[in-house]
Amino acid sequence: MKQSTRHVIAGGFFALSLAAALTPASDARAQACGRTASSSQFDSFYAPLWSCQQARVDDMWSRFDFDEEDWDGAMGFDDPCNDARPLKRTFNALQVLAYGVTTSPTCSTSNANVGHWAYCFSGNAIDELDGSCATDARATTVTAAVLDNYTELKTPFFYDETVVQRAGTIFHEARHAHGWCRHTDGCLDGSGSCDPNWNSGCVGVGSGSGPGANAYSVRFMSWFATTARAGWINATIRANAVAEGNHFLSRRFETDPCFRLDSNGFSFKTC
Amino acid sequence: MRSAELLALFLAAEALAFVQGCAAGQDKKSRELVAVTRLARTPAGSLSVSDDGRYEFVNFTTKREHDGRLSSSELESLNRHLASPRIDAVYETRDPDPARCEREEAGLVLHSRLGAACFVATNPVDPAVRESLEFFATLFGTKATERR
Repeated sequence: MKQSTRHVIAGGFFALSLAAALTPASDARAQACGRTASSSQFDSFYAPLWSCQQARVDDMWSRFDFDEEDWDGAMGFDDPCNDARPLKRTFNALQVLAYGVTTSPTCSTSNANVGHWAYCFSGNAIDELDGSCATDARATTVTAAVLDNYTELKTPFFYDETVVQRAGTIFHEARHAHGWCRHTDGCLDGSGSCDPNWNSGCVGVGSGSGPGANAYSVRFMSWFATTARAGWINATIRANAVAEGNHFLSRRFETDPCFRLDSNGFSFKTC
Repeated sequence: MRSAELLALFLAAEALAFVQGCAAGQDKKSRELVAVTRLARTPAGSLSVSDDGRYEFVNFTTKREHDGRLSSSELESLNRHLASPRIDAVYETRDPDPARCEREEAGLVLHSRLGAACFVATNPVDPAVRESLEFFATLFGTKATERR
């Protein structure tokens, strides 16, 4: 009989049993949200790099204020090391956000390379990280002064994005959460997906100033492509980060930022 | 200030916050249908096509970009090649060496909802898969040089 893979520890976080950590998931292609996980989204590449370590899980769980009720059932609370489950696919992305560029992520945002601080920044900015099977968006961040603040990750995030794209999406949502930075409608992707321009990307009453969420996506992709740690990137993953960055640059700014990323992730002027 | 006034102020502030909150950070799904990256042959670059048929070609060799729109027949063909189960069969032939596309002139990295992987058009024996990979390669070659 299958034993429970968790028990409650101080602080309310779950702990993985040794069996859960070491036993290959028999239902590795299990469905959630009616979707089957693709094997080309790099989860199997990144999973062994952090081995679902308990300390890492605890850190993510507390830093992003995960709640059991938002991640139970097929979302993966009882199966947290299964790469087919939304919870583990989120964990993999958070590990890339934290350790893709550095072995010692920091909370200081003074380094131009966002890969050093994207994880801590995101954890501080996002009030709680929830999962759902909604399909209307990759993710939604709700910010309100006294009401509940949260970021909700959705089906396209879990099953249509690679691990690196997911990491970028979390950083993007963190920018929304940090300073109530919202989108406009006036770019090719439209429908509330646009930043006005590169240097001033936030709109709305009470919004912050400076680069917006789409710029944060591009910054992460560029820095990851150019400075990722050996073993945390390969040629295909780098090409994927560059393609994602260029897609944001070409379609998600009302005013073209006038640069694109080359094959290595470095920017070059285009106008 | 009376408690009723305080309550009214609080409710008004909450209503404003709620309206603002509901408008915040709705990050739409990507409208990108596919991106095709070529690394080992001139021109190296990346072709990105969205669901409205618009494309952008970023030329890594010349460090330039241009955009345009696929014809309706091109978009129709692209959607046919990206539909399941055809695209699933294509992804089953991905090259196990993620670096091969940096060396192999016939190599293409495909990016789609199924993920990103390196493909070499001469690998597959399935004619339908080979046809799809040749379609992506031809589309890349056409749009690399075509300007609106």
